[in-house]
Amino acid sequence: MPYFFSLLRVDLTQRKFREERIDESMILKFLGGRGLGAKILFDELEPTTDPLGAENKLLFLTGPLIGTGAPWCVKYTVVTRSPLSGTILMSLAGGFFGPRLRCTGYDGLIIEGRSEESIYLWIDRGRVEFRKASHLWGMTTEECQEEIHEELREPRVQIACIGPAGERAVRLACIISGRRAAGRGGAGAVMGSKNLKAIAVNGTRKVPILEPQGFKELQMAIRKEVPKTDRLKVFGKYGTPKNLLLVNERGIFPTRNFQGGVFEGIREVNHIEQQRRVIREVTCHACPVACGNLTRAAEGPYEGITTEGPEYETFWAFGAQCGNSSIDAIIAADRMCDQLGLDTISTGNIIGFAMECMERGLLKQEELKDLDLRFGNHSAMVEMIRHIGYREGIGDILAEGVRRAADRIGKGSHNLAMHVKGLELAGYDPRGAKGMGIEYATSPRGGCHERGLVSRETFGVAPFIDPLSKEGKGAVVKAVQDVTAVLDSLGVCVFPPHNDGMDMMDIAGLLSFVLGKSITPEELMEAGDRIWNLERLFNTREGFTREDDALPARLLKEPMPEGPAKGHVVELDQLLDDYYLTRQWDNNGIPTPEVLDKLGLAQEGRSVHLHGKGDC
Amino acid sequence: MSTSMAKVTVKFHGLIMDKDVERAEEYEVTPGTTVRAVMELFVRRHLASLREESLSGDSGKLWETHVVMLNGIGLVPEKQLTTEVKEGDNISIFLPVSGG
Repeated sequence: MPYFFSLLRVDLTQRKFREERIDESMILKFLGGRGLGAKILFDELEPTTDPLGAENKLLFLTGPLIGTGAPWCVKYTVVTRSPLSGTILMSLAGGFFGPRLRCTGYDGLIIEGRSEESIYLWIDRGRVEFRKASHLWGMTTEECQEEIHEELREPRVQIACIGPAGERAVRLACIISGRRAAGRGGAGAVMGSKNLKAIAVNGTRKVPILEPQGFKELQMAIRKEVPKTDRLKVFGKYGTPKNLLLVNERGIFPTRNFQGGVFEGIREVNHIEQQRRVIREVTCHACPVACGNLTRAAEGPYEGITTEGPEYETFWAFGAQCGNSSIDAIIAADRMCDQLGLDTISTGNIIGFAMECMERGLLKQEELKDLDLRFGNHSAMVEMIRHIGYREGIGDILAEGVRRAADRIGKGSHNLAMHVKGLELAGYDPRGAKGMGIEYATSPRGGCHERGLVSRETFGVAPFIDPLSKEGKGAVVKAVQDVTAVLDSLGVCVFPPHNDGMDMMDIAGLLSFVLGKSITPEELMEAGDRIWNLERLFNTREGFTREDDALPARLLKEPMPEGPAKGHVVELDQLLDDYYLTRQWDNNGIPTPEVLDKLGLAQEGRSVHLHGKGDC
Repeated sequence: MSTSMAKVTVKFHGLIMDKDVERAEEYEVTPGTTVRAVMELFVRRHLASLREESLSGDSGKLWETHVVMLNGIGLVPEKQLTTEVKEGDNISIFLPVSGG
């Protein structure tokens, strides 16, 4: 029997659902998860749909490797139109929800419409129930999950839910499952706008593997290599925070809202200090690395607060970005964001922005009430998270995201708003890593670091490339973006493949055994290219052009004042010319008919032309 | 000749000695000493602990997998062999991981 995917389409307005089949040819073209989501959203969503309106769709998708037991094949992807950037949004989370979702018998969900009253979905072995959630509304993500567990009394249930931030359509709101977040771009606000508090899943289906023997042997062989791989071992122990010291040493650690690139508080905020606070390691489904850490704040007013993480980005966002060197305050901030359902990167970025606004007199003390929001004041920082999550006071403005907040504050504050297309930037300064400039500018969901993070440039993983050079960066970034599109679409965690744990050959092999059909690494890379182009077409149709592939003026005009990248800005035009050429996009950043034809996207390209929202 | 000796700092943030946030050590070397030569001094001094940990004590492997920076600028292995240190230089050695 040929391979297929089964999706559950749920209409919240009518309270109806039906099962739909995705055939093998779609899986071969778009793989699953992120890629499949791009195809569905492109086909089904009318251009300029209000992201927070009933017409927006919210997709929860897995990939064909999820739940197979192969290492690191774990992530589910939420795909929707972002209320923060207006672009297509793909937001991924690890943990256990993705594999459990597949066990329900459905490989993904397409959520449509809006429920009149607050509800949660309960999907158990193919059965679907719309259940009242009025008693859950207002709860933190932890309380909500506990309550649903109590209600359903099924120990294997996994839950994805929103917190108070998503309920209030805070545009930085995320979706939390366990303690993992589908963090970026405001998917939690979309879920809240649909009055959908949570989705609980359970099931016992064994996911299909058409050639189980070959699959088993290959995945065992991959696992056997793990203890022999230095980089993976180090990554497993420390996780992403291992890079804090390194990125700071390179002078690309954005400090005080990107005013500098070297943080003097790094001696208090780093992986060693975190290790002193780690209670135990935490793992995702089927992972032999276990990079997560449960961390407990050790001192001061935060003593005793525990969180899963913080990750590198969270240490940056509530550390250097806010000029804060209290690691325990960062642990508390991380925990509060998880509880309220807020994306830590965007939240920290915005608070750093507000701190600079205050120091420059663009925000008045009366607007901040009694909050002394200076850089380094961690108690004000932590308090501000709560205000954003509950939309209180100035928090109501910041809850709109940094771009809209700057529009409201005015007085030139948009010059201090560090975002691309409305999505707040992450913890790398592209003035000292030019490829990151391309990635921020062109990532389909806005100012994201993760879809094309060139480890050779940013971290210096061998073979090293010069971070300050512009030459050839277009091709380097494109290659990593395409690989990431493959990993995301298959639901493979990006960290092990980038740390010698698994390569494209292994991934192609695993997929071949699952589908019972030979897939080459080259075909996977072409699929990555196809997915990237389809997402670009989605954004083109929404009216995005080269003008939107912009970086904040600070990164283009203000030379880095310190460190190894001192004197550098991002030469964005030159970098984009090179990148567009490599992608075979025209000078306005729109995919050419030739590249779309080559990738089997000619029809999609023509439909964008017909809508007249871009010259394709 | 002590006036012509150059003092350089080596900072190691790797798999070993991670009990400290960073291990910084000063080395006094003669002019013309290459970055690699300073790194070899470092390895010789710490060979025991390098072996103690699971990371190989073979310095060839060390330089292959680690990021080496001179004053924050990355140096590829060939450059480590030809670049000479001067007074006040900082050499940083990291085992990088990918992910952030």
